Amino acid sequence: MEQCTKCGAVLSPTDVFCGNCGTKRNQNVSEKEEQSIRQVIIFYLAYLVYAIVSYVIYLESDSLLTEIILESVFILLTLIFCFLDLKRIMKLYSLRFINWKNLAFSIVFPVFTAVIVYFGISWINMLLLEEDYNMFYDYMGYENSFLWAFIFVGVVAPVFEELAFRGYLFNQLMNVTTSRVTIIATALIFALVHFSFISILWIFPFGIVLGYLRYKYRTLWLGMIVHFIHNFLVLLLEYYYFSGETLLDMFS
Amino acid sequence: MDELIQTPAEATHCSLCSTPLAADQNFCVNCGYPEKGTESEKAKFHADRVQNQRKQQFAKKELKTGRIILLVIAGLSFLSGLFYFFAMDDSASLIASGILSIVYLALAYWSQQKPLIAMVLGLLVYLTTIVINGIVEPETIHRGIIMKVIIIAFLGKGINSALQLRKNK
Repeated sequence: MEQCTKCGAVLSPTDVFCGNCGTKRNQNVSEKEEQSIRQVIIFYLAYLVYAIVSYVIYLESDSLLTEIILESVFILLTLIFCFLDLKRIMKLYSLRFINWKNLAFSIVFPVFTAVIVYFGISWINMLLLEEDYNMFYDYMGYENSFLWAFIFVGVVAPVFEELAFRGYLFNQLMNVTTSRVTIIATALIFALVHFSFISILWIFPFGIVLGYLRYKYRTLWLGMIVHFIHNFLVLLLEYYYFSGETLLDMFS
Repeated sequence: MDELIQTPAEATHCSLCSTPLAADQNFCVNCGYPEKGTESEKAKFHADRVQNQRKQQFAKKELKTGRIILLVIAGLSFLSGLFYFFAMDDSASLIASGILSIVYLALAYWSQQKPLIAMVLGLLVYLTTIVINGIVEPETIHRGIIMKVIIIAFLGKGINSALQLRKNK
């Protein structure tokens, strides 16, 4: 039974105002909504500033140390935001709603997305820019380039992007709007931070699926699995077309 | 005698919106009218109500301006894409601008049903556009700076108005 936040009088479900003290029922909700909207904007601005600073630093130095420092800052930034909502975020690491069906989907789905996105991007790049970009051009200067690419793209991105977007951001937006709108909004913001408007075409629908998994099964694990397999397969394809080596060649 | 009969009947309904009231309720649970309040409390309620209605109307106007701004940015974005395509044969810019225009148009349309989220996303998309353009062509950061500030201010006001409308719903 709901009570008035000011005087504690019992409210019936249809009451808009407290009959005893006249306080509006959703006053606290409005303040919470305002706070959540402020946090969403601050969260996004923080990542935007991080992206600008990273870009400027990369222009000066693209060493492995620079990359490690910048990735650490990204991790730290994500953790700081998540500490603001720690209780609700910890619940998202529950395995309670994971079953063989959603696990199977989370393993099979990214195989398709990785192949479609990888060859789709190559085709678009060739069509529009008449050259294809390979992410190993950025890593070729490092010793053990595949290992570092695996850590940054395969591990850090899925774990911390899911935590930031499907964890913190998702929770804040759920304070303000419906689950359907939250899934769409987080997918759009997730697509925006990749800083390529053309890539909205595939990152947005990918984000919708990740958001849906987070909402339906109340966990970040499935999103992390999908994100990890997708990024890892794209990485393998990139490495294969860059060096001509497969994963088996690397270990043999 | 007449008074004794009429008083309980009058007290059972709000004199402003006619919502039935329980005997122990001082305020109407539907509109918040201080049924058992003093004359000055009742006058203050009416004054606040008029002020709120004005605020609501003003918020609606600002929200409409925010929506128009989103449509204007959609148009400008598409025009800049066309310019790059015809002047520099840059089809990548045309496609990126086209996608951006569709996003702004969708947000402008969406702002009729979900004004708060649509305005927030509109602002975030616009800020991202400024940053991406600044990275690709650093000289564009200063170009049209007043226009950029005005657009950000209007989108910010749109967010504020959407919050205001929700608060007074």
